[in-house]
Amino acid sequence: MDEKPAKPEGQAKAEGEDKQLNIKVKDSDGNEVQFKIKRTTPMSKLMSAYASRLGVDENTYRFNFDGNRISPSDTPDSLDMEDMDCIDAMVYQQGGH
Amino acid sequence: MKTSVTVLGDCVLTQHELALCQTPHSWFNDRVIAFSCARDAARARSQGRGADQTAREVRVLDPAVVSLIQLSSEGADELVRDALGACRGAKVSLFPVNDHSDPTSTTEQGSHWSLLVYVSTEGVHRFEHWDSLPGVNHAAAQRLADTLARTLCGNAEYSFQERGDVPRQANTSDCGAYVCLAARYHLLGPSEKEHKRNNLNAWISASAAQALRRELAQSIAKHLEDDASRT
Repeated sequence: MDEKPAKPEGQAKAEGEDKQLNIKVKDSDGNEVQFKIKRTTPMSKLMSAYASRLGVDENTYRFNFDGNRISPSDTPDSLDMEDMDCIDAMVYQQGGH
Repeated sequence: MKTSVTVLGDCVLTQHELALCQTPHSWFNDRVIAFSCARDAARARSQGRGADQTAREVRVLDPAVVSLIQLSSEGADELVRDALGACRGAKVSLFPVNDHSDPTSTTEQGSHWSLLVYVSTEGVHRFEHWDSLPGVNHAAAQRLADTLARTLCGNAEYSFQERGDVPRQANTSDCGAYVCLAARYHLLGPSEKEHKRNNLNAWISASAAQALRRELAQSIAKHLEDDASRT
């Protein structure tokens, strides 16, 4: 399992109240990538870290947690996340005909 | 310049979504459809339809959540139950359906949108498929209905039918717009009793699709500008 942290900017004091959570992101193939993230860090950090890890554009993936779409401004706190919770990543969709 | 803005709860919009609405014949993606539906749902609420008018309560599921349900393996019913929490108690639930077949590919994201409508009244469970190109999304919609039924209908019987009188799109690029218009018809249109075929053609048409593209482009441009001027 890959355990490289997302390392959001300005994340110096990691202990104490601002304890980090381990959050897993699972794609529809079942592959998991694990991130360490503070409770108050916007999910946009994790989203772009995930996309850059996979070498794709930031807008390629949509993220769901417990069956709800995650917005970039959500945080682990606002989503009531716990350690080792899992996010589902889905490739974006389009259609014309 | 800021490249993305979040509006109406969790709708993310970028310059890319603006371009999709501005450029004739470009295909809608899930974000454009989610935004259009969320906008109309907000309008429906502000008109007093929705929560306190239970008879007409209509819910729309975000296409990204629908895709999560479509692609979840059998046995993931708990996840489907969570995802369908928003539909609980609604009389009508709307599911934008995409036909993408390879969820692992980042280059192939589907080619057609349609709308699956679930109506639940007095213990009768009914799925109706609104497809602006009849037949194209039949298999994807039927599969989704079967998955949803395990959670929404329990062991009760349910029906699935193709809605025959859905206006047909006039090109190979407007299916997403037709899905938004069909959702608008359910959210803001006449009640089922008042429904007449003429009504449907007034709400869902090539000119309405064009107008919708203009309307969405204006609204997205404004959101992006407002956000840029704030930061």
